[in-house]
Amino acid sequence: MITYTLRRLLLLGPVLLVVATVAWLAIFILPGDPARLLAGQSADPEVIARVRADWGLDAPPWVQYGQYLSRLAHLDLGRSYVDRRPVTTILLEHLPASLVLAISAVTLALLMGLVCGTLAALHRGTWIDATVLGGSLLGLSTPVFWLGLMLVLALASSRGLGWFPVSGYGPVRPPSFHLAGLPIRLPSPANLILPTLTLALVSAGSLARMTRSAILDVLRQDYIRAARGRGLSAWRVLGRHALRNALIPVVTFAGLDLAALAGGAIATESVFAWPGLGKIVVRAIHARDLPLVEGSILAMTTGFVLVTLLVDLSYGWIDPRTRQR
Amino acid sequence: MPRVRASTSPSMPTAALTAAPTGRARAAGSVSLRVGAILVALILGMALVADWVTPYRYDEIVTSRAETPPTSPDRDHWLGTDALGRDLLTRVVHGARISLEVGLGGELIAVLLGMFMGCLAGWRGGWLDAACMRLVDVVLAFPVPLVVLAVVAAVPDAGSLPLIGRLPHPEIALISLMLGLVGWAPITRLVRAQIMAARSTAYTEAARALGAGDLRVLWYHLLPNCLSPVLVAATLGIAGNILAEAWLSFLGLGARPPLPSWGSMILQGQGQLTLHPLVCVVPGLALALTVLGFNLLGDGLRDRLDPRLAGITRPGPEVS
Repeated sequence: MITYTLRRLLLLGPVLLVVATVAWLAIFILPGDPARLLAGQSADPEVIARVRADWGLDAPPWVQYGQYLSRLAHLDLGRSYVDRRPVTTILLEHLPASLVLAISAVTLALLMGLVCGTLAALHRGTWIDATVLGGSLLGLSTPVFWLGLMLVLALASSRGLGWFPVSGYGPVRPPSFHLAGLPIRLPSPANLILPTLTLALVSAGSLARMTRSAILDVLRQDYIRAARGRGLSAWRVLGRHALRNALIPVVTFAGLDLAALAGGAIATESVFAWPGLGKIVVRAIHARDLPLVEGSILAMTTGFVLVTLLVDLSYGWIDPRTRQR
Repeated sequence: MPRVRASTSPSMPTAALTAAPTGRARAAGSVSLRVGAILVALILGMALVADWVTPYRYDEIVTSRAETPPTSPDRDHWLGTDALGRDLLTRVVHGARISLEVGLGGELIAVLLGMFMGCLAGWRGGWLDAACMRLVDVVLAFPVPLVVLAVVAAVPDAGSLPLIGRLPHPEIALISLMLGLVGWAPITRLVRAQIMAARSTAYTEAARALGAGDLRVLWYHLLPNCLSPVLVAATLGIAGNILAEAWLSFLGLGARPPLPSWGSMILQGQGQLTLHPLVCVVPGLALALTVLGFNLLGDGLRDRLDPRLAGITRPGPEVS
């Protein structure tokens, strides 16, 4: 298990290097001139030249690439073209909001997916099964941003029930607590509910389907019949034998679904004016703030790769058989 | 001594613990196939006759000076107009074209690339197979939405690109191309598995013994085996592509105005959500029904073509 973990951790380096290089190349081959962008369209050639020298844009490409990598190694992502602050600072400011949303949405989605999927599998062929399957297909087919807007219309707007705030993070308050020196400001619960529900509903659909088919697969196995034969109660068979084995494909799928979750989170943050990384990256692309685009995509990809790794490592915890590999 | 007894738990049906496929599940498959086919046919029809549904162009401002758009539905404009005074029904109907362009175009690229790579890997084997499969792993490891965002950020003006820039909607073509280039990997896996399974069958041996060449065996004997799983994957992939384009357009990074993409229409309607919800609701409904149609069709086709796979979803490149 330790060698497996180490090997997986060693693979992390090359993957991140590839992502960093692709991000740099994508920005580098851009047709526009960043120095002109920085100095403004009507700037004199001398001003542009000075800006180019100031931002290190006059060096040959390989030197710029080397500087970029060495800055990355020091967690320095450069300065934003727009508000001229370090990209790392901006990202750290917005990271907690994204984390709060992601964690609450994944928790809710897993809960709904596991419960609904198990119910559907146990009541196969009944109206419960049909409802869960139909509902999950609707969840899979509904665009997350539209679902968010419809929830706002029905539950938050003055035309609907008006129960929740339409958007935002709630009133500005001092940080709730510090995590590794990072001030974490929690949103108002009322503000968190709709974005969480939006993001969770979409993932819950596919999770429920996956749970259903995984449990149906497991229930056909001989060891389930054996456990039943030994006189274990149905709940014990389900909890100790069926669910635990069914979790492996479900967790795999949840891991694969992370990319969809990232995309959904960007749209959800955009709908609810949620001050997270997704909002930052979209705003940076619109403003052509290249260091911020580069930095935020790199940060999100790193997060994605790290969580995928955690999902992989969790197999060993769920299924002891995989530890021997 | 362990007691042998039936379940005492009343709320859990014991039948489920010894479940075999039921006839009802099969019937549900054919229902989804039918409903999906009807929805997809409707959308295709809508895209085909888009020019004749209403007397307006999608970029034509139809409100008079006395009116302040968006206007409510009336006799001339059944769904009212959008914030710029353009007929909403016209725009929604034309939106089907954009969605199908990305859905079908992107998937066509993915299927062609995927089948080519899958044949190469499954038929040749050896180092070529290993290289193809590593490439598949790498492509699948990338978070598709973030890659798509990076490309969109790097190419702010698709019209300035060679080749793509000459097409009628360069930004839509670029999105299709991108989705195709990230969507081929699952298809390659499917095709490779089918080819490897069929490669050692008696009918392939027989064809070879009769003197058929590589290409003939591949084309007439191996590829037909791949068609049904690829068809299912492609149908579901179309749904994913349509969602991806709408997602990008909603973020303001896809279709350019005045192009009537459902995603950008929802973005434009967001501001008047409470006062004029139709501007937001209708394009979203069209989008959800289209994606639902392709998803149902894919599910139904899978149940029809390969009952073993019933109920298993494909973890595809859907982004939203």
